[in-house]
Amino acid sequence: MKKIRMIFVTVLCVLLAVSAAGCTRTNPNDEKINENATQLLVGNFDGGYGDAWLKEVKKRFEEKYKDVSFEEGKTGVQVLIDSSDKYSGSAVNQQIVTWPQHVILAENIDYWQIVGTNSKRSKVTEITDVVTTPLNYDFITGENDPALTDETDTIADIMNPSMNAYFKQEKSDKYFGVPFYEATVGFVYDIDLFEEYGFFYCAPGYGDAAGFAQDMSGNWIGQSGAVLGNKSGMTFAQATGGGGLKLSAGPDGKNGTYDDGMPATYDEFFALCERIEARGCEALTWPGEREIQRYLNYLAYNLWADYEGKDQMQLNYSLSGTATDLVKMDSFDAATGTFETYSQKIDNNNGYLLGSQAGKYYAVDFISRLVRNEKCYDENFCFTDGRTQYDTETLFVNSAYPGDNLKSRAMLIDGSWWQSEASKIFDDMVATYGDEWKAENRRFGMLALPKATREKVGESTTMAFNTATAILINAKTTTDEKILALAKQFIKFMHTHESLYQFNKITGTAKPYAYTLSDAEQATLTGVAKQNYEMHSSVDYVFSYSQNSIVKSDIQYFSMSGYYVFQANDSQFEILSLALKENPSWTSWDYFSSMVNDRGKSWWDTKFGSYLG
Amino acid sequence: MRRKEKEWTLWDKLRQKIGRLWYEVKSRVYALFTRNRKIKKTKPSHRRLKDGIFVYLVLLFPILQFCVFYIGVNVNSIVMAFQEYDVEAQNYLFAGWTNFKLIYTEFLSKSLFKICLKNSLLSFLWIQLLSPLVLFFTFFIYKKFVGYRFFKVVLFLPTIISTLITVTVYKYFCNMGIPWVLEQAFGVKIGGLLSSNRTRYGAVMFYYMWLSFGTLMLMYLGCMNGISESIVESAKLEGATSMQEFFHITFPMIYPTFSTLFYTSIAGIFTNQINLFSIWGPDADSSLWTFGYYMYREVSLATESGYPYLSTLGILMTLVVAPLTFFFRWSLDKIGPSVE
Repeated sequence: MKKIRMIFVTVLCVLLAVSAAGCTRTNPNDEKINENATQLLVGNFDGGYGDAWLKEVKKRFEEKYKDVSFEEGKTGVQVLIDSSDKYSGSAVNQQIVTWPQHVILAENIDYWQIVGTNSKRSKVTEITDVVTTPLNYDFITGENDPALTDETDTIADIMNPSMNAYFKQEKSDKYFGVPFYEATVGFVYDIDLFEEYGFFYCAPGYGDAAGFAQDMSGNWIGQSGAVLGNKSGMTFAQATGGGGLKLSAGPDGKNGTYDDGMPATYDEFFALCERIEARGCEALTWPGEREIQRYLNYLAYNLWADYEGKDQMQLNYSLSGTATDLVKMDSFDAATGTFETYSQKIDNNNGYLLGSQAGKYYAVDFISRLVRNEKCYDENFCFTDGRTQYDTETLFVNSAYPGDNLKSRAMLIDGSWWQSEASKIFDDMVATYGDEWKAENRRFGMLALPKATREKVGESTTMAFNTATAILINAKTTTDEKILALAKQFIKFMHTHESLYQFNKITGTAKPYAYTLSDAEQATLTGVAKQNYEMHSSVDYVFSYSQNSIVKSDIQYFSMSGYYVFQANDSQFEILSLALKENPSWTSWDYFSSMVNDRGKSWWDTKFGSYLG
Repeated sequence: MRRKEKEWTLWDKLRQKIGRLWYEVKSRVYALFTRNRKIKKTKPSHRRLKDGIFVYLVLLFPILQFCVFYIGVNVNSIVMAFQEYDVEAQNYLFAGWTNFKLIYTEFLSKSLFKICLKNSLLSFLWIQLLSPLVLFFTFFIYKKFVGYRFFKVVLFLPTIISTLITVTVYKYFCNMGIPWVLEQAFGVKIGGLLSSNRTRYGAVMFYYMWLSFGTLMLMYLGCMNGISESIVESAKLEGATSMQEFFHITFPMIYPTFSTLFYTSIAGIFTNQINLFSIWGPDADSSLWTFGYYMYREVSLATESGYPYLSTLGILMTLVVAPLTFFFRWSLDKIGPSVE
């Protein structure tokens, strides 16, 4: 009895200790303070991108200013990075004044709330000079940096235009922050697997009966059904590089671009999923966890943006302009699934009408078709709550190994940050299976979004930035002029060409700035990084935030990561995939019309009445 | 005399109690200072004054806290119910009844309101139905019947361990553990209990009741342990059985605790989030929502412009639940068993 009691007490103690461990703060970024240098404290949101890229910037920055004195008796600068998930969400607004950090790289924030209306009492420092002086102007020396003679553009010049419009205060033209990163959600695909099985569409007249590069037996099919060879003896590169195989032009309708061979329409996409399943692979995987099911909302948001195009989508945030494809709600023909559209001038008073944009219907319809076709995904995994993002990424990455009998997984619904987030998974795989499974040896890419209709093929791709991010200077702690200059220079330094390239290289994703990587630089990128860079250069991005009072007042109804964007059925439905899966009697039109009805004129007038003319 | 007593209202009783309390405080403060003045020069009195100051200084902090975080917050909520946030000026402006109208269009007129009402009342009901079982188990532990230690540990465990751990374990148990066991043992494939909409409500209620069981038991057990041994002994000497002991001694003695827990759970109808936020954060299935969860979730998602709406909702809930709580308190005081 005594022994049992002892064991029990021990177990309880361990459990309590585990609980208490959650309360302790360990700082993995602990770094010994160099008393002989000036410290610049940087707070970094520790999300999918991690801090490896920032450490690289730190290294170069410290090296560059190692001989400069910022304080009496001290030489050089030491950048101390605090990576934590506290630099995210509304907590930033409330707690920034309590943090010692000078520079803060935050995510998912209400930028204008933090900035405030009274710049003298603002929680962040105005940095217009950082954004509007050339990148080669050095705040420390007060001169142009001879090492950066080519960098004559300003941060404002290269910043994504819709982000620029958001960050620059409309009345004063002042900047208080700059965007941190760009991220979006889509279909990540395993290029090696796609090439092995020929999961690509061919140009008209080429491919098998369904238009695929390989038939069900693994034969490469060329013009008029001619068998070019089998996958056992011919690679994808051989088949396309003179072997007689010609890929389709993809959603952008142009040959020779990154989306060649990818499904051009929703119909083609679902046919591809069924082909993948028929060839013994799993088409799509996503985390079953309820919270992460929202990624399918983000995907739908991108499909909506892609259908509408940049200008039409931007109306949702500016609430000013003419909407050209609003659905006439009484014109829907259930038999054919078609409807009529109309144009309408939009302003603050009738912004609710944008909820009936045709693209929103098609996006809902896409998710409906997806979740109701069990050939497209692993139902057991994708709808089991508790299947985390990490589990999913592990399964996707590891499924390529032929020896463990895992069904190969072709596509993953995830964010563009996924490979950086999954770096440990790749490391583990290398440890278990060897160097050939290193991240840089694997080839993954982002599938171009398919178009809703054949008529839309050929239009450029539009996607939305996932969330509002910002790099800010903490007004409370950065009062000393020299530290302020240092903080400003650090922000500028993060936007030099070298830093943008390093960010791309290390995280695998791009930053929301216009920059061109040389061939030599591109050669050093991983497959994912390279493709993200290509997408960054070719996709029209919209930023789902604006300075419109209505949009600012409750961003949850407007932004890509907003919780209420796809609410329906008296606010009972929010997560598209779960609502459509668990309520099979609801058609996509039912869902769409419910969204439109719930967010109609009476709701708009009551909710935003004080902002209406 | 008797007639006069009967006419006393709850308000009269309350006033009497406040009067007594005020008199008590006044006389104590007076006594403290007059005694100090009288024996000012002697050492012990000086210490007494110091003690007094110390006590009042110690009390000052909780009183201030009460003023700021209870009175201040509630007054602010009432004011906010008639305000709206101006995002441009970044301040709150008078808005009349706008928030009340918005509550109607956004919540009261929607089916979500009915769901919240149903689930909130059901969770209250389940706990009341659970009460006899809790009382029984507590009595079982109190009387130290065979195996009482085991039940004590199993039922108290979730109360001791951090919610984060119990929720994580429970989620895995429901979503992975049980389906795996069923598949291995019977070859039956089922989805996760918290994943499937057929089993989700049951799984949530089981967890809620399991957690509540330990908390309620802890309260009752503390109260039962306070029952004088001599009363129990004398009942035994008179040949009372365990059942008789429970109904005639234990339950009447713990009745004040029982009734307090009952009417506090009425007050909790609008705040109880049945652990949904712990399990799913703001992403719980709407068919499970309670008023408490709705409020908690909306606050977690809201920015400054959302607070007036939520303040109004809070006030409306208080207007409903406060009279109910007082009514049940009054009723339970009336109908309660007598120890005599």
